[in-house]
Amino acid sequence: MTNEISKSTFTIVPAVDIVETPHTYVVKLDIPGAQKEKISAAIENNILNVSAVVERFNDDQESDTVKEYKREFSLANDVDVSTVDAEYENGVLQITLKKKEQYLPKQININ
Amino acid sequence: MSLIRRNPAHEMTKWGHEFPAFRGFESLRRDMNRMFDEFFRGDISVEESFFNRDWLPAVDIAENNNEYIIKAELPGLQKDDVKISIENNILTIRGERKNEQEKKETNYHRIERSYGMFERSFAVPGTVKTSEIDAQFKDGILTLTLPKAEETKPKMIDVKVK
Repeated sequence: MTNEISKSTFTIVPAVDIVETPHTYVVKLDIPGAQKEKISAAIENNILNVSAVVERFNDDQESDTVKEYKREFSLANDVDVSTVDAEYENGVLQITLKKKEQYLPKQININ
Repeated sequence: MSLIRRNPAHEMTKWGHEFPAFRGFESLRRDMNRMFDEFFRGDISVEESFFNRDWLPAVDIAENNNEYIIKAELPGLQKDDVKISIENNILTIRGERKNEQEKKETNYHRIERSYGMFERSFAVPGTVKTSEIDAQFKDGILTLTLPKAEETKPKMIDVKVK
């Protein structure tokens, strides 16, 4: 059965928590019901772009709708974009961004 | 203590119009609680602490010939964090999302995700076989399947034309 025509899409801005620790930024987004393959996270020009597509009910239901989660974040200068880690668990996408070496807190010992 | 935003009329329209069977039950219960609180204690703020509800998860409800399907968005929760009960044809989903990280040396830039306890109740139509309700929890979505009793399913009757 082909029913792609009757599917409507609506865009959702997922809720986010952004928490900074001395060495990292942790970004958590609520994206319930997504499949890992349908989530994308990418960094381009210091902008973190997150998107995901979620079917509201089943694929075989004709009047189904598609939810599209989308959100962009402009990253601070101290983020090391070369080592980004993303994890999807229990409907939450967690992205961990490390800080660049030169921005890390240092202890300076007195000789 | 903040004032509670309450709009039963809106809730009634929202659920009453499309899914008469699943009319939001919260407003009625809140009204009842308010009534009892005012009667016994004369203190409306008790109502809030009694409910202690910090967030209201989004719910989709669908119906087909054989069943009702309720999908609740509960990201960040696990199976054991959610309790589902049915009593007097009122289905209640409740649980709690705990704020897991309360460490020192942490700067909070944005906290938009809701934490705390939640509770949602729905009046379930009498045609549901309550003993056969199925619950699945996957990727932060709770899916409840409520099968309809056989006699309430739509039937096709062949009319023979002579």
